[in-house]
Amino acid sequence: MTTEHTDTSHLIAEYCNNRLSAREKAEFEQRLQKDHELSAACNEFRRFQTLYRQVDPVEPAPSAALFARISDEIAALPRGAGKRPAWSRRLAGAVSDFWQRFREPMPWVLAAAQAVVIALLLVPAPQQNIYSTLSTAGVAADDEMSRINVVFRPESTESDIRSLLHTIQGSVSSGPSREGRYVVSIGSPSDLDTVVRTLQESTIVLFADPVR
Amino acid sequence: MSTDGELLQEKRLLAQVAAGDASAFRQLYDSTSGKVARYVQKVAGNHSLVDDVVVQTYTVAWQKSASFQGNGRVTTWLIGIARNILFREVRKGKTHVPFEEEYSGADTESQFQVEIRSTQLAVKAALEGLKVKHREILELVFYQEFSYTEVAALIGIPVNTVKTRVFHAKQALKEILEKENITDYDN
Repeated sequence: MTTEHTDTSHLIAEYCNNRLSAREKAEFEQRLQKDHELSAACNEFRRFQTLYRQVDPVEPAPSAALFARISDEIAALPRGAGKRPAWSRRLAGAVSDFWQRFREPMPWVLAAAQAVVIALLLVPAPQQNIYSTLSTAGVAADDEMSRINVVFRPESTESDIRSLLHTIQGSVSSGPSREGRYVVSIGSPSDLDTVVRTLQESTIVLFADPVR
Repeated sequence: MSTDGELLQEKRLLAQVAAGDASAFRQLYDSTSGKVARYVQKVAGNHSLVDDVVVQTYTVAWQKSASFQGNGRVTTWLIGIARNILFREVRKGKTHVPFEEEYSGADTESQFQVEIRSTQLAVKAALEGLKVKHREILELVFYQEFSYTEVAALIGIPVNTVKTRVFHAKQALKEILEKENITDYDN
């Protein structure tokens, strides 16, 4: 066995699996021309790999049932256990620092803000479904049977909300309104009661009620 | 084989998953679960455990996707997660899979009582009779296309030990096949 062989034999797998960069591949092939033992080792690697793959080429197909189990596991994760994007963590940190500074000298400000939020939540929803949204000023819902007014807790993370929406197979069709209300659409109107119950029981939801 | 373009695509997909994109997560599952499930199947040899490990692997992947560095393939990262979970399950005693390094191997005598006609079937049976550490390294290198460096990082052994282990795994396979008078498998 030559010294060159010893130095590069760990690259045999990467070479045979075509995982070397163009430069590394060229260098390796130069060595192959000079080093017959390395060349033989490569051929042996390929022969064995062909055999190994022929013996058992089966790779399980993705299973919808298994994915449903994964989705259930994710939905059942405790609040806060889900990941949060880096920007979200930075933003949360900044908001937390701001409130900390604000709260210490003026605790009454926080109490007043909370009172305003509660008062807004207690105001009945308008009869017509016209909400101000960040993206459109249009009408939020046409098919009222499959839409739900939802207010998430302020500390809910984006991933928490997405997980919950994924669980109920729903999507946000408009929102948030000035009161922090979203309109969530679901695919099947017949599931409305179950979905509303799921939302109401979620720890990240303050309020959930069908659009009437 | 993974080209730079494929790696970039995988990195983007993981970034979408990290941002909470459920459809990107489904895409990730569809494109990678076969390899992950196969790895668990080959190493554990216990089909009842496979689904549980796969479910846990993707749950962790959803939670930790923001930590994916993008320096390697997504399947390498996922198999690393699956391996940790598999080890943990075995330690918890949920399964009887003998996973320790010095596992002496399955009962190869009884496995060969069934008449084996084709070389491929014989090799398959022989593979199942190998030590777990040998089955694992053959699967990682010859099917999952791990580099020796990736295997070393995954298992926590030096690259030279990877080379040695690949050599011994193949030797062990040859020995089992020779016992069965099958010597033409590597021609």
